[in-house]
Amino acid sequence: MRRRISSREDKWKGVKPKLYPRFGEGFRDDDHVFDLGIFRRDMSLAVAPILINDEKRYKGVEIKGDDAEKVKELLFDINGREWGRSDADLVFSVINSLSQYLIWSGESLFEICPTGKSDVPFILNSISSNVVYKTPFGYIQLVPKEMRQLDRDEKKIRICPAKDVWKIELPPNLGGVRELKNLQKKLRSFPTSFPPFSFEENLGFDLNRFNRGRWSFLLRATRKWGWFPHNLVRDYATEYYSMFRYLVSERTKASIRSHIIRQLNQLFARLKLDGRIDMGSALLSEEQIDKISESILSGNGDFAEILKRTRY
Amino acid sequence: MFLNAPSFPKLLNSRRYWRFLNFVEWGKFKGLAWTYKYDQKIEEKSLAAKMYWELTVASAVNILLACVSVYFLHLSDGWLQHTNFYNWFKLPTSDGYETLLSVSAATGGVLLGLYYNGILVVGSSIYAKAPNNIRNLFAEEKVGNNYIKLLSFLTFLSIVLLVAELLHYQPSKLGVVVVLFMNGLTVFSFALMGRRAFSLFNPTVLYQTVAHEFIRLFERAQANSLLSKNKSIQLHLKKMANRNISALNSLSQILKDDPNLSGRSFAEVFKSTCGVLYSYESAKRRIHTSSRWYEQKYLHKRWHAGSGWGTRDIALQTGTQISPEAEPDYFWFERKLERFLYDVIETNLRSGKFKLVFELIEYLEVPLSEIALNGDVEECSRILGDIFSIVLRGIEAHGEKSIGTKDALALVEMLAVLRLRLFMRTLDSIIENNFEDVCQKLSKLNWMSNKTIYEIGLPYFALKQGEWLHKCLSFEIETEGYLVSPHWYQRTMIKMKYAENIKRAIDVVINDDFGGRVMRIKNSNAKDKLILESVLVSRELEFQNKLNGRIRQVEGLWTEAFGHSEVKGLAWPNIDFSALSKKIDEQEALLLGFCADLVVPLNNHAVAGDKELPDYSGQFLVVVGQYLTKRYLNQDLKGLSKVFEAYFAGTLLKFTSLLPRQYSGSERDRFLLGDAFEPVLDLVDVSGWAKLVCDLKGDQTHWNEICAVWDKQNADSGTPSFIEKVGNIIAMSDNDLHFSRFDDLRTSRGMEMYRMIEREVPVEEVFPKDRSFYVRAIKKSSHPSKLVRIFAEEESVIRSYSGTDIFLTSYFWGKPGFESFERFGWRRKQFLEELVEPEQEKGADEGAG
Repeated sequence: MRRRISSREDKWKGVKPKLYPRFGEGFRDDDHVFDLGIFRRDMSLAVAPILINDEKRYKGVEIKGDDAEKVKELLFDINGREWGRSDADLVFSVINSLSQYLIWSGESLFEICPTGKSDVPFILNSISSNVVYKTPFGYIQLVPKEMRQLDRDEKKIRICPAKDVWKIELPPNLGGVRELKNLQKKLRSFPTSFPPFSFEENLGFDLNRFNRGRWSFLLRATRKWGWFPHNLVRDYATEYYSMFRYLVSERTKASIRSHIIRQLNQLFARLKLDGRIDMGSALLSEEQIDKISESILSGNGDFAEILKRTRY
Repeated sequence: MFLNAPSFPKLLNSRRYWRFLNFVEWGKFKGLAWTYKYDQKIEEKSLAAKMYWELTVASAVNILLACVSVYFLHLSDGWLQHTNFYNWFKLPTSDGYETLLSVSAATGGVLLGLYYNGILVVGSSIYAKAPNNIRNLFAEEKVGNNYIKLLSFLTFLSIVLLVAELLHYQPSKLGVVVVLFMNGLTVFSFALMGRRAFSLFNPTVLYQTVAHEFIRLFERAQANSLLSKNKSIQLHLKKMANRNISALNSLSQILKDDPNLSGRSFAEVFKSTCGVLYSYESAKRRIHTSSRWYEQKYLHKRWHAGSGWGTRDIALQTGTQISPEAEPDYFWFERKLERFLYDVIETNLRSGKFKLVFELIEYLEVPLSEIALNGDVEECSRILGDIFSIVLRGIEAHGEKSIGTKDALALVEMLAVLRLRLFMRTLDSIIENNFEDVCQKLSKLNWMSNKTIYEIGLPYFALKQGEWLHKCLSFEIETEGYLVSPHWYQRTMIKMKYAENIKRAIDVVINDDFGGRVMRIKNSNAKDKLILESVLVSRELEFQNKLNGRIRQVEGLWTEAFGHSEVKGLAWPNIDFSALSKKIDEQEALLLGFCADLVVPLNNHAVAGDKELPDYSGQFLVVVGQYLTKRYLNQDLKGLSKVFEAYFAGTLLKFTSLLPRQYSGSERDRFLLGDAFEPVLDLVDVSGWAKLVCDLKGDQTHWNEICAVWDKQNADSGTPSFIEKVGNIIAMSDNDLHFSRFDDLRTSRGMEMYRMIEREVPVEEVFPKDRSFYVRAIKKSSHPSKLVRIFAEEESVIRSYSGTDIFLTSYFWGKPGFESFERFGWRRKQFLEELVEPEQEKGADEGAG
């Protein structure tokens, strides 16, 4: 059992963050849209293993370096948890938290707050990205009125220099924030299971045709992500195609995973901490998934075996 | 691409879009319906043109003759104009022209009247009480209708020409020519049509209209025809087909009740219906499997079992059930037609036209083969069973009176042959499948086109899978922009259906209820049911023999091509060939049981010696002997007691029936005597081999059973004893007939036994201690039986010893009259010495001790 080094209160004692911390961003009306909801749920599900039953399997995941403990404190700040059974458990939970932010909004912001303490030199303050704007002078945060009233803090605009902010975005192969926003817009295109006018007589509405058009559009829009809601589109797909989409989605998850690890290691270097995350060969890399894809293309892959191999 | 456009979901969610689509669909439907209607009209016109052409051709000689006559008349005009004779005639004037046209119009009117009068007579006498659909057929009779159209046209044309002249138009020379030509056509055609009107007294002529209509409907229902995807058109086509089927049934009712029409005319309709069925089976491969052409059965979906996106939501919002799924009945058309076919067979059987029924059953082979090729082997088997019941009922109904043995036999044999041919053809089609050809075409298919899947020659049983594949692959192309599922996967998906079809077909062929049919004959009241049963059993023997070969081929094909999937983990059909062989063995045992049961009664039957009938008693006797041999070779001796008893009794009866009534000692008589000895020699041979196998297994139960049968017969016989007679037969066949009798069955039986012993009994090769110049290794066996040891060790002798030798030494030796084997030749004496004497010595030694 890994103990936490210091309590949250101890950590934050004497530290004054420049930006307002992450708050409940509230639901947009169309966030209830079914397609967007299941897309977010499916794509952010198990980017890294959630529950580790087999510790030995993930023994290769390690936090190395002299400042490993300081690095772990930073990771605790990201995942919001204060404990971790092992390095792997901690790293996986960080990956899952960050990937959720990335899939929801395409980016995630953290303010780097120096503490001046030797055991915990920095604290990462997680920021809601939808109210933060980047300007040549740094990041400007427009704090919502409700939050200000809640905290009795009347300061509406907060500014933070760019050097004190760590920003992580979606990997470039997934198109970045703008493309994700466009995709989300497309996923909001069908707010209901069928249009409200479907029952009108003499309209000639055809549910089968509507469904086929709907899923063709949605699956085409999410081609890069490989999203495939199996139970909903099984009437239109061969087992091979569903496996193909599954592997694309696994590849996407692998790329998000490796991107997060890369960015975290860059952050540690930027903070001059001697520590880095080493994933070893615990999880499948993009290249390994590409090889599996090639094997099923050539007809040598066993679908059940592949599922067993790729699922955690 | 259209799907990429951000406005696409807006379109799908907009009322206007659906309204527009509806409008487009409506427009498309109207346009195509118009085309469809005109296409139909064009087709009708072309048919009419064809008929006119046929009428023209039929009338051409007469018209030509008339024209030539006119030409010669004109020539004669030229020759005669300077003669006084010519002055008697005048050139036609305007009045003459009018008269010509008036006459032409009047002729048309008269012919119309006459034709209708004739038709009216036919209609009132034959069709007055016919159902509406038959009257409709009569009214829609195409040839007559087109003739009437032609007549009407001619009449009206003449009137128009007359009116034109009244309006001071110049008389038309061309008009005269046309009127002349058409007059000729109608007059001469009238002669033909009049004759044809008589044929309308036979309503079967009307069936041509129905058959033609059926073929037209099949063409319309196919995927490549206009509007074939439209549900309303599909329903309309089904409705039309049902209307025609009901007309066919009404026609059948009329024909059935009329003794003059229920024979050959009815049979002609039967043959045409077989043709229709055949065309339908071919057309079926190009009809959408979800088409409303097929009758629908509605199956309700489960609320919690993947009922499809949005369907539960709709049901909840409307407070209704989930809309049911339509399950097509792919065999509805055949089922409706088969009723008619059964009717024809039944009617002809009732009236005792067995030869005609024979012919009809023969005709059924073509459509049934197509049904089997389409993968509906179960249906074929069911239809065969139904026809068998109908035929048996027909035979029973006639009892002792009118049906002759040969007629009934021919019918039952025809059915058995039909079954054999159908099943063999099914297995052959499996072996010579077109899978590779289809796969090659599959690789070049345009998946975005709706029609191409029907053009690659997919068999019917794989059509649904092809359509599903088409739906999925076109979805892939829409979403990914290219085809994702590779060719090998498509191939596997189609191959799966081929594999399922193989499994289904084999299951039907193997599990076909042959035994049930034999039992039905056994329990029936049919005259000569023994012979009928023999026919079935005899054909079944042929079937089993062919089946064994085919199954081996199918097994090879299965192992090589269809038994495995390229996609691992797919629910692939599995054929357990070892279980199949077991099943075939069971069937064979059942069949041989029937043979054994038949051997004795057949030999006692009155027709046993009838040379016009096949020698079933002889065949079954030999087959039972071979069956016993096979069981001995497999060392499976259980439950053979009754079979042997039947074989024994059958042999004696056969011997008695073959024995020449008078024996003069001539060469011919010796041959005849030799023939009569054959079954007895076979019996002795088989009994001898039984002893060897019992010794080999160390279980004398079956041998004791055999001895008991022989003993009983011996005890029942007078003087000379039975075994003495058999001993004489053996001795005579060797020595007194003055020629050697080698039998192929006994020889091959001996060879098989030799191989079995070689396989089963381990031997050791040892060299004798006193080695001379050339010493050969000697085989030594440690088997407890002396008999078995002799056969296992003495390789050179084994080929010359037979089952008869074993039986002589094992059963006959020591009995009264068999103390010495002098008369059986030195070879048997030597065998006896080798086998019995040392044992005796040993026994004597032991006794002395």
